[in-house]
Parts: sequence; C-alpha cells; structure tokens
Amino acid sequence: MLRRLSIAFALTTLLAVGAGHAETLRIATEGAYPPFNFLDNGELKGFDVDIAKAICAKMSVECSFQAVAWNDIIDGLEANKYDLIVASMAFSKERAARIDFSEPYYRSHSVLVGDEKYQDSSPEALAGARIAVESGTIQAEYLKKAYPKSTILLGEDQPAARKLLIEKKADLLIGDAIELLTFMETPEGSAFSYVGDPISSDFLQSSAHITAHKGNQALLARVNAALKEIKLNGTYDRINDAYFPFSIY
Amino acid sequence: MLKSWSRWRSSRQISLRSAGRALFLIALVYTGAAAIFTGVLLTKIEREAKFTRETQLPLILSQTRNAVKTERLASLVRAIYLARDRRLERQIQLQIQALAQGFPFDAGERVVSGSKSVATLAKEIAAARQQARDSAGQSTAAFNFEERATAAYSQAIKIIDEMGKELSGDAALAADRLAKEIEAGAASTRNTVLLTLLMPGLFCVVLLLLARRHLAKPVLAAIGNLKRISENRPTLPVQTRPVLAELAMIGDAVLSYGYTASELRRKNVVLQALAEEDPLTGLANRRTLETYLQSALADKDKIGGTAVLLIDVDHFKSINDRYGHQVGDQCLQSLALLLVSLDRLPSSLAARYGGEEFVIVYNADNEEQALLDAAFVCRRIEAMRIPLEGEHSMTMTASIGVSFAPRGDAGGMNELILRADKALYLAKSGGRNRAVADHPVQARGRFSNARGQTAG
Repeated sequence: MLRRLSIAFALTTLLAVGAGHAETLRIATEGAYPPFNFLDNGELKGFDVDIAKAICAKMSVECSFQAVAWNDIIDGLEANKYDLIVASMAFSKERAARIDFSEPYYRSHSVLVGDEKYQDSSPEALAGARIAVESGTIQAEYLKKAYPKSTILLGEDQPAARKLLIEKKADLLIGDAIELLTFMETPEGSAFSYVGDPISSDFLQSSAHITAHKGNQALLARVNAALKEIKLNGTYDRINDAYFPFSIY
Repeated sequence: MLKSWSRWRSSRQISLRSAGRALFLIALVYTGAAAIFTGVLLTKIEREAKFTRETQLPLILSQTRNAVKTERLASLVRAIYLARDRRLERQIQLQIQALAQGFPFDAGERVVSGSKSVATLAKEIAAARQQARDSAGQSTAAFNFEERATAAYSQAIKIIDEMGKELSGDAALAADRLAKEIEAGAASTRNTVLLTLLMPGLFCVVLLLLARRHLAKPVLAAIGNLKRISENRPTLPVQTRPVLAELAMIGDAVLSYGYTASELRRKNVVLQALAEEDPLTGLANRRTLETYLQSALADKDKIGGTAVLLIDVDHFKSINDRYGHQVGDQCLQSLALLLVSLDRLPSSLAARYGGEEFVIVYNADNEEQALLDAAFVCRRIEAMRIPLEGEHSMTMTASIGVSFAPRGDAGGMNELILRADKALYLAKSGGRNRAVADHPVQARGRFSNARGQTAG
C-alpha cells in the first residue's frame, strides 16, 4: 500500500514537472506591415502572425506575440526580449552577422509604384524623382546605392512611407510587390500602379525568413521542420489564400 | 614471383597448412573487399538519395508550383476579360502583374518571358476596355476596342497554353530523368548484390572440385592400395602426384608400407620353409613330422590306419669315416630323394628324424601291408647306386622299424614312434638291411603275441 502511494506520488510529481516545462515561445513582429503583420483593434494579425501560430501549433508550444518597431526589432532579439522574429524579414549579410535565419517561408521582390506616367524603373529614368521608402529596410539601403540621382524620403515604417506617396510628398514608393498589391487595392492606393519591371538585383532578391538568436540552431531546426510540415499538409496554402490571390511561397 | 610460380609448377606441391592459410586469406580478403564495396555502394545510394531529395525533388516541386501559378494566371486573364468593371479590371490587372513578377524565382526563360507578355496583354485588355467605355455611344469605335481586347485575350491564353505545355514537359522530363536514375541505381545495386552473393557460391564449387581432385582422389588411391596390400596384390603406382604435400607423403608411406609388407611376406615364406624343412635334405623336419603324424592319427574317417616306418642307414659312421662327411651327406641326400619319390605309399610324408634316421608316415590298410611296404623300401635302398668321384659308385643298406596304428587307436603319437624305434632295434640286432614290425600286444590275427619279420 505504501509502495503504491509512493509510485502515485512520483507520477504526480513527474506530471507536475512536465506541465511546468510547457514551453512558451515569445514572438516579435512589427505590426505595421499589412497584410503581413498589422494591428487590428490592438490585436496582431496578418500572414506572418498566422504562419507563426501555425508553426507554434505544429511544434506544440505556447506562443506569445508582441509588436516591436522595425528599427528596434533586432536589438530586442539580441536583448533576449523574445525568442523569434516573424516579420517578413529578408536575408542580408549584415543581419546574418547578428542573428540566425530559418528557411524562407515566402519569396517576393521589390517594385516601385507610383503614377502611371512613370513607365521605367531604371535609375536614369527616375533621376530627380522623389522615392519614399521605409527606413531600415534592404530597399532603403539599395536605393541609396543604386539611385543616387533620386531623392530618397525615409518613412519610419511602411504606413509612414505610404503616407508620403499618398500626400504627394513623394512621386514613387518602393516596397514588396505583394505588400504593395494590397496597398493599391485600397482606395488610397487606387491612383497608383506598378512602375516598370521589378527591380532585379542580387541584393534585393528577397526571401522572408523567421529569425532567432545567433547560435540558436536547435530552435531554428524545429521551426524549419514545422514550416515544412505546414507547407506539406496544406495549412500554409490555406493561410496564403486568405491573404493573397496566388501562392507566394 | 614468376620464378616461384614456375618452381611450384614443376614441383606441384603445397602443404595442407599453407593451402588452409591461402584459403583463409582469400576468404578474409574477399570479405573485406565485399564489405568495402558494399559500403561504397550504399554510400553512393545514400548520396544519390540525398541529391534527389535536395535537388531533384525541389526542381519537380518548383515545376509543379509554376504550373499552378500558370493555371492561376489563366484564370486571372479570363477574369479580367469577363470583368467589365473598371475597378475590378484594375485590381485583377495588378494581381496579374504581381503574379507574373513572381515567375523569375524559379522558372525557365521562356516561361518568364511568357508571363511578362501575359502581364502586358492584361494591361492592354484593361486599357481597351477603358477606351471602349470612354467611347460609349460610338458603336464602331467601341466595337474596335472590344476587338482589340478579344485579340489580346486570345493571344494571352495562347501564351499561357504554351507556358503550361513547357512546364508540364519540364516536369515530365525531370520526373522521367529521376525515375531513370533510380531505376539505373536499383539495377546496378541488384547486379552488385547478386555478384557479391554469387562469388562465394562459385568459390565453394571450385573448392569442392579442388577437394575432390586433390583430397578425395589421393586418399581413395591410398585406401585402395592399403586394401591391395592386405589382399597381397601388387600396389598401383600413383598416376599424378598429389599437390598437397601431406597427402603425397601418405601415398608414399602406403607404397613403402606395401613394399615392406611384401618383403616381410617373402621372408616369412622362407622362414616357414626353414622351420618345416631339414636344410640338408629338403625333407620335412622332425617337428613337421610330429604335426603331420598327430593330424593323421586324429583323422577318424580314414580307411585302415597310420603306418610309421623308422629308417636308419646301416653303418653310417663307417661310411663317414671311409669316404668323408661330404659323401655321407650325399648318401643322406640320395636317400631323401628316394624316399620322396616313392609313389606306392598313399598320403605319405617323408621326414629326416635326426642324424641318419628317416621316417615315413602314410596310410596303410594294416600292419602286414606296412611290413610289406617297408621290405620294398629296404630293397629300393639296397638297389640304389650312389656315384662317387670318377667312375666309382657305392651302395648302402638301411634297417626299418615298422609300427601301425589302426583308425581310432588311442595309443598316440609317442607310443607309435616308440614302437617303431623298438622294431628298428630288433631289425638292427636281427642283422640289419631288413624291416621289422612291432605290433601292439592287443593286436588281433596271426600276428598276436608275435613279431612279424621280413628279411630284405
């Protein structure tokens, strides 16, 4: 009898310890990059958020989300304020020096949008034009290098950059093709269309990744496995179809 | 190497021990080689599987993705053609553009340029529709714009069709290539495994054949020779010398044993003769005589009985003294020759009993007959001429004591000889050159209580 009691006690203890170990992942996103991530009545939503939730479910972990300004988001990760960033972050060497990247979870490219009178996206054709861009992005870096004859206007986030275009303070806006497609379908964006061909450069060829602390390969391996699974079991495609007219994988 | 080989060829000998070692070495080397080979093969398969997973499958998946995108492009083009609403047309046109811009990620050049053309044509459809709306009322102009939209639409659909064909062709090619690679890999694996399994089997067969030729054959030959030796037949020489040294040694040992055995047998024959014969006369010796006499007395089926004639040369000492021992020996030899050539005595055995004494044992009907035979022998001895040196010759006489034991007589050998000896004594004392019989006391007939005597 005593023996049975002690076994029961041991089991209870084990279960309690197990429950205590239920992992919670802290996830950061920007919350200002519709339709990928945005705040809707104080709640974080968007493609990135849904993908992050699907991955958490696949990994059987609890997830908590927080919105962090784009320019602070890597610092916050390094300060261990959260475990993962799921915020349509493109790969770049500068970032890779500070944080580690998962496999890409979608791919996109950069385009210019603006008035229909612009037909050519080459730096020569856009000499003297004012181009709006979100600061801290790979597009901002690229514009500074590749479009020296144009005026570069920085917005602190994507809505701010859009505002510059809408209020005619900028002639053109550079951004992600998919993100800008959503923008042009809104009333504010209805006056604009794609300008010329997508800007092709190895520097801009962008794929979006989930990122983690430098050296946290174990977590990224689990993220990659979960990513592969939701892609294969159709979860990814369902989320994709809720936001975009075609697959962005 | 070559030299040692040719030396081996000429000697064609290998010890069982080194044969075993060579076998072990071969097995070891083969196992090692098979293990390495299998390892290499499996690593190769693993590498190919990895390559397929990392390169081929993503390729096929991206083709599939592009095919889905192309399908999507087609439905968007259909949608823009059917839209007839400025806002909707613009929205779809932007979607087509964004979708078309996505192709360069992982599609071929023709598919990318096709998607670009489709995006331009979608733009043209939207523009033509807008112009048609703007020229509302002027039916001809509107009709022309409508015509342009339709032309652009059909061209776009045609381009999309070609893109689809290109993509499905690529996907099929990639899948086919993949299937072929897997098939080739499987075939080569099968062949290798078969070969790896077959080799030891073949080796075993060769080993069995070698064992039959180089183990069983020499052993059987040696056994055959042993059998021949035991049956006192000549051994067969080895046709091919066994390659295994130990077996060659065994074969040689058997042959030399066979030689020794036949030599021994030959010597045995000589020794037996020596044991049975008297060396001077070639007659049976006393021991042989006793054996013969005993078996003659034991024979219960014979008719009559056994007679013993004990023959002693008369005055032999004086022959020796007068003519020398050589002539004495000659006399004895002549007498022996005469005794063995007597053909009237059935089942007779002539033996030298000692010195100048001889014995004949034979089957006689009765004592009278034996006495008559003895008298006959006396006359033959007396008539014999013994040649001497030159023209001379000499004669001699002998006295004979006769004893007879009828069939089933219980007296025994010694008594029979003793009686013959007594009879001989009587013959000597009776004047020599005669035969005298000494019959037993209980003998019946007219010889009872009397001594038969016949003068020669």
